[in-house]
Amino acid sequence: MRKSYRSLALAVVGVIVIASSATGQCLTLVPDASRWGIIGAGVLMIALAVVSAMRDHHVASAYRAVAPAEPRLLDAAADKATGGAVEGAAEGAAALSRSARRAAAAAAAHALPRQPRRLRVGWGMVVPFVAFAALAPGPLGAYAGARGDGSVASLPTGGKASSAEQAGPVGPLAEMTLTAYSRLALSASAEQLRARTVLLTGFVLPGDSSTSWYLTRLVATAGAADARPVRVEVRSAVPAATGTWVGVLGTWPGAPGGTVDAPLAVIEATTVTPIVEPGQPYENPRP
Amino acid sequence: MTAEPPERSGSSAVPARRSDRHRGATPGPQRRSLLARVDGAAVRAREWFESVRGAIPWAGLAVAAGLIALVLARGWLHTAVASVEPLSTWLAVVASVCLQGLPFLVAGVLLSAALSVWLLPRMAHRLSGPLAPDADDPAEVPASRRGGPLAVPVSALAGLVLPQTSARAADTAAEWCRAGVTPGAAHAYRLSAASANPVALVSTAVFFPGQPGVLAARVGIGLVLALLVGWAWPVLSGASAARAGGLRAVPAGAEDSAEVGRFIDRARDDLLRGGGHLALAAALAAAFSQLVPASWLEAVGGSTLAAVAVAGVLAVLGGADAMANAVVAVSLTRFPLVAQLAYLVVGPAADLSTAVRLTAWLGRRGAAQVTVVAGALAVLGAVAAGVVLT
Repeated sequence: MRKSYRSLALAVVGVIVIASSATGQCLTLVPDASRWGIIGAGVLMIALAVVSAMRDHHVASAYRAVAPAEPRLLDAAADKATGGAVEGAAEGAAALSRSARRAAAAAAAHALPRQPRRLRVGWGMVVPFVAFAALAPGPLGAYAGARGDGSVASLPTGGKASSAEQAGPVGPLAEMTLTAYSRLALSASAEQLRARTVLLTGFVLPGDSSTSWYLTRLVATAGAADARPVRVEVRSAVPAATGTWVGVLGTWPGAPGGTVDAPLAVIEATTVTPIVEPGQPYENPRP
Repeated sequence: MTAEPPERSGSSAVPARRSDRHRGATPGPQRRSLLARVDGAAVRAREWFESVRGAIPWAGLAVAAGLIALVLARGWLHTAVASVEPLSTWLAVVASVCLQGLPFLVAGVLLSAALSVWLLPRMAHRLSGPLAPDADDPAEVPASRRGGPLAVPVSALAGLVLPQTSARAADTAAEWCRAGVTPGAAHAYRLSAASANPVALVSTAVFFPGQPGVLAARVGIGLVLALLVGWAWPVLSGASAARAGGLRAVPAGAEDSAEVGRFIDRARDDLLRGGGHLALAAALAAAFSQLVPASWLEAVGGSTLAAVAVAGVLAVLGGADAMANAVVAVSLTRFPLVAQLAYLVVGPAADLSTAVRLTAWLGRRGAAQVTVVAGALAVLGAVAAGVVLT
């Protein structure tokens, strides 16, 4: 990677991350809280790109001044800068800053290339960000939802209901997250759910039988990076299209589904309504 | 940017020949001057074209054209990629990991570059301690007389407060050795600074919320690893210890002689290198968790040892710096916690790119030895911590 491209690469990545944070494009992939850190990183990267490009220009001018006899080598100074011991360095570089002069003189005296190491891996940084900007991958969906066993026990916080979750919802009609519902329904305090109507939201994945399908939500603390699916088995005679977002009003049937290793909570649906996909599609495991 | 000299001299040779020919063919003075003027204009145009052609950064233009094409074809590409679900999922996870790792990487690299220019070279004199007054070459002083018995623990603790990328820490350690610090202490610093520095600890706390055990394990393993390798260094590699002071990681004069210039160069290069490795690590980890068939994942994730082994291999190959590798570790969603912990500690201690960088300093054998030992200790530490935590 040539030196001038190094600055350019940093600037490109900086612009992409700032633009994607400012427009909200990245919020389907990262949690809201990380937005300001990402913007800050972008600003620092652009600043570093500008400063380093200016520095390169400065040092290249110094080389040109100290070694007018070798213009071809000097043109590449910012890039490779094979100096070569040259006379008349002091007068030629008099107009330039002290540090640039010293840098030029040092490289000239040692006749060694500055920055001899290759930096091919540097392109690796540009590729994912450009791909992200160009291809604009949306939030994770049905494909990620179908991987993994879908049980709350697979979450890093585990399948145990906290004391707040064990207390259960208040009132006869309650909106719950899939995580909270699953934890409560699979815990010893599941009786809390009796005689209550619960509203769950998520997207649809096909089930094993004709009368059931899975309501799925990706649970994540770090956006798409650590998203794990949590599924609730919906018993409903009405089929729903895979991948669509729905709200399910229903009741707890009193027994879990799934397998012994990965038990899933079950809901007996009374109504299923299509909804708009929420802006932040991931559920926080610690609401 | 100007034309290259051979091209310029070539183009100026052509008009001389041409005007000679014109002079011979057309004797009339008025016609000659007109033709000469036209000819001169043509030559100037050609020279200008040559100089412009020489000045055009073709690769840069190609990149720019590629970017513009990508932006123009964005809608189409988005639809095309979105229709291939495994690909779009993989890309989304890679982008998410890179975006979230970036703030920590930028902060860590800027601190690392600043410390490597302004603070760490000065610390070498303190750590090398009482040298024999008559010795010109610090390498001739026996290691036991340099820095005293506290050199290894002090440098290991220094690593806990001074963030460095693993590549930059390797360079610092080499520089310290040349300044007379005992190689054991230099390695202790290198390992703890690369694996358990403050930026890495903050990012671990952010990406493993509510799991202070992971944070403690990271500090503990980083410190113990650094101390063990530091103390074992003389035993561990008799031959390479003798050479340790002799080789230069960076040739003299290869870097900017001004401190600000060195800081800028190091910050930029380390950021690109760190970003490249973060992207590589993210791509490998996401490929493993999103593209590998689910049945394989069940098999690997179900066995703790297999999961630790795979995580270790991914960490060694990917080589993400400690500041940003916590987010890569959490993206290994199908792995148990102990494997994620192994990913956290094995990568900075024993990644491939740092091992390659160490060969310039320690030679092939020395670099392989210290990398394998550090990696094995990191795996053992992760397994032990995993047993305690779960």
